[in-house]
Amino acid sequence: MGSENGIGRRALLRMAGTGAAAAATAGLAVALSRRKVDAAPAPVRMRDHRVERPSGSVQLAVSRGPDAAANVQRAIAALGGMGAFVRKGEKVVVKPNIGWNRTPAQAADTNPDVVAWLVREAMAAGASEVVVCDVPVNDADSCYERSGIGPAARAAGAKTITPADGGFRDVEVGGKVVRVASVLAPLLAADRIVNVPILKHHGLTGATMALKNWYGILGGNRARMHQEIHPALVDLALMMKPTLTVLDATRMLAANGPSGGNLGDVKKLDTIVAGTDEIAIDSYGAGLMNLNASDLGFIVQGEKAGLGRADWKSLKVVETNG
Amino acid sequence: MPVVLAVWVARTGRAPRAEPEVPVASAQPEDLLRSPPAGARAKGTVQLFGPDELADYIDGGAPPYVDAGFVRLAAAELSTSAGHGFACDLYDMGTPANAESMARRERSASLASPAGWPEAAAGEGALFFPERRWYVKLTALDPEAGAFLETFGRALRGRLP
Repeated sequence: MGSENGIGRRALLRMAGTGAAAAATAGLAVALSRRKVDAAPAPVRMRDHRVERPSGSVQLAVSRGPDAAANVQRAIAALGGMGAFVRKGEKVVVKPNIGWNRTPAQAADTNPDVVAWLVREAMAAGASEVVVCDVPVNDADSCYERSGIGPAARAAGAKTITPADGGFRDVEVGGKVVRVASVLAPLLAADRIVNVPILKHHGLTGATMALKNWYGILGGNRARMHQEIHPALVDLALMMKPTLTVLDATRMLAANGPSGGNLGDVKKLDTIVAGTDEIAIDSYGAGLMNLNASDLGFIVQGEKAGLGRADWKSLKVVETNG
Repeated sequence: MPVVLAVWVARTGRAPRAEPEVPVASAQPEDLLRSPPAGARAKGTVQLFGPDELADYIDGGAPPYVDAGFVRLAAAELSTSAGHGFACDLYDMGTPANAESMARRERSASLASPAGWPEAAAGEGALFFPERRWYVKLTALDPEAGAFLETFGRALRGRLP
């Protein structure tokens, strides 16, 4: 009955509840889309949002200290500053985790101070517009407000867009298990995308960090992905190619994730990890959770797929303390 | 007049109070959330989830529940009389053993049992407990609601069907 995650196949199949999902378990690709075949426009492709980095650039920046915004500032400065990633006139999407109707202290959503700093710096770098968006699990308006991200992002100059406002577009994923996905539409209009996950425990995947945060751009019956969660996350990461990733480990939900709720499960780490290699960032984050990166399927499979390097120590790393 | 109250009046010969509480034996979990005990107030709509929809509420937290025999969830945001919000999640796990199993699985070292209630686990802003086939999770959404959870939980446990 058990799987490598301790999750039974019965549970996954009952959750999926469709023949297509059962087929996916057998290794067949699925379309995570609400599209009716004859009625909707053909899927579009997601553009590559990365920027070319000068040779010798810092590849991973880690900063620690009591002030979350100051930690992001030092980490991004080590990577060359926001101007190395965002140029004048570009449209920027900042994608935090706003999945849960929880307060910042409960650490189920990205820290609002981290999001606000990134918005301000992107605007200061010349962005024509900064959009903050996610596809929450709980009621979107409640999540945006109670997490503090909505008010903080708007005060910093961003436009916050909920799924009801932004809508979805079908995107060609072409992955091993995800062929087509219904993706939050503002991401398709972006010139640059900043992935801003929070580090926390996740009952299904062990941990949620950079790769898992792409689950939060999906509409449709995304729970079907749970059956093949690790390769599906790799498929999504291969599609997304973000400009920059900032892992928020200011507070870490160490147990009962992803939703949590008990403040006793939250540990203060006061750490930010930033870079452009999502596998290296997730591998570093695994260490912060006292997990082995080699035990996390999405890291192992992501590295095999060429998404990055789990051995973050082989990268050029700068660590600072505030 | 609802059938339950009509029967109650017929049997007791007494008129119901102006704001009747839900009779213990007949209450459905969603009724408890619409008319909560201990002075709590309903704040939003009651959401119901079966095994195929549970991930819509707790995402990747769902598979362990489904694997443990989960039947149905009734969930709502409630508030204290002062307006501080908290989430009340009533998981019907099918059997007491299943409910106790989930409670054990989610019991963190940081949680402690309230006095005289060893099955319950309370932390800052959270109270979880199994009660017969139910696994109940109360989570403060506003920090000020945390102090009310034990009072509410004790009132709720006696009213679960």
